[in-house]
Amino acid sequence: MISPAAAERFAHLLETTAGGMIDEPLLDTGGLCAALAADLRAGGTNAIALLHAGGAPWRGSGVPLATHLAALKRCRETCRHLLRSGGFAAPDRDSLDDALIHAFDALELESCTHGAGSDGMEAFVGRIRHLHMLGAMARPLGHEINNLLQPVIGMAFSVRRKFPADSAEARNLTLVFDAGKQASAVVNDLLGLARQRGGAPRPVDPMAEVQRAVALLRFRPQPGVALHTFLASETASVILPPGGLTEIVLELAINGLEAMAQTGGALTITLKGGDGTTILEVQDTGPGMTPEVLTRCREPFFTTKPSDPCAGLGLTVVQGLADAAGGALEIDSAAGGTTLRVILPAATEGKP
Amino acid sequence: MKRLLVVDDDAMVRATVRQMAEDEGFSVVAVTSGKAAREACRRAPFDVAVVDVIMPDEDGIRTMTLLRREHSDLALIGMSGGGRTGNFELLKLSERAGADVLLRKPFDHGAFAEAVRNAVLGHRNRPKDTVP
Repeated sequence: MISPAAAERFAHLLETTAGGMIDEPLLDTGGLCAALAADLRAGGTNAIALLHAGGAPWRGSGVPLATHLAALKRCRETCRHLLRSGGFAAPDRDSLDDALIHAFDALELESCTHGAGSDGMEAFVGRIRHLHMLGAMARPLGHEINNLLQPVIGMAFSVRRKFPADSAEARNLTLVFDAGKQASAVVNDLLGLARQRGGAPRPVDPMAEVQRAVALLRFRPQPGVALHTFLASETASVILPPGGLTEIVLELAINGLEAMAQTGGALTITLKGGDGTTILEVQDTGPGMTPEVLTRCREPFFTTKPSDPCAGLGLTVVQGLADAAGGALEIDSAAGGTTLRVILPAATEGKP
Repeated sequence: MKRLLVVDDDAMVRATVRQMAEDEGFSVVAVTSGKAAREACRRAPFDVAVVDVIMPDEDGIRTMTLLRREHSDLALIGMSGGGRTGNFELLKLSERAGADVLLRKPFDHGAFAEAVRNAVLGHRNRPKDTVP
């Protein structure tokens, strides 16, 4: 949470800017970056809140989305640079880094909602899907390659020790060793790219996440389809990467909307509490899945939409997020509609 | 001579870690599964076990938990090349399972030697009553 002192400092920065709006020169000459830098030097307790607060004034300000995002990107890079050079210990630095990545994602998502309408929404969902596709491929690939690089690096070093340091053999084995190290760095970059979204799981407020998804869905009205929401206000926090539940709702809702493309109907999103659980339901009134589709729909890359290169990962992603949270994905489907239910255990204190 | 146990389903990784450990002066036994690791530890005690986190029959988290339960003196090193699902989170999980030190594949001789040193030292310094 942002402290009153930081809020005040930030408000002062806003007021001193012409029109009460952060602009690029402010970011460059001090402003938000200075506030962030000061905060990071003091331990970084308000950096994320500052970044969020810094994003707010753009909403409805008329500043082009691209400018907004470019400024935020520079801001995030400044944060990361400060984190890398500021003497933070690794666990703190990594968790703060994760949080900044998420804060930036959240801002980007919000700016899509507020600034760019349905095009932004499509772009955002497309980006999520591409990153998921990348992640789905990068993780197992990274694991296999890292395993294969173990003997390359380990043996090159072991064998090199058996030759005099100035021999051709030792020099050549050094090349093998260095190339192995470099390949490993490339793999880790790829894995890093794949895990850019979300960050570490932590207790998240389901209501906020679902509302964000619903806000995005309102920018994607589908002719002949009504969108209903029943969101219980008192639902327990769940353990997910921030943004994870928003993705779950979007994936399930988009599946439902696509199922009703020909028929029209109603999409109903329900959030409710259960016995120690939080339950999300997304129900469509489409034609329902055939038994074959119902059996296979959780398989990675299984799709009924072969024309979409990113298709076939939606339910895999949802299943993966539900599994990671210790929950479950239930699917009821018959002629007349499909209900997807994600049951997530409530976060309990002392067991994050 | 100190004894080191390597547990990995991948033959190439077993051979490499064996070589690294022998270079460090260990007497090495390599096995392919958690079950074989427990049997080996029952036959004769080891000073250090290096356990792959992701293995097909029984994952390394469970292997380390069970090894730790039976052999509180054993120094444990978890190693992984990044998980199929949770990425390096698995390495953190292995720490909770009782690993003294974690190694990310691919690791070089320096990292391996340091990990073994820290595992043995860390374990020796750890008060008995806090062993999980």
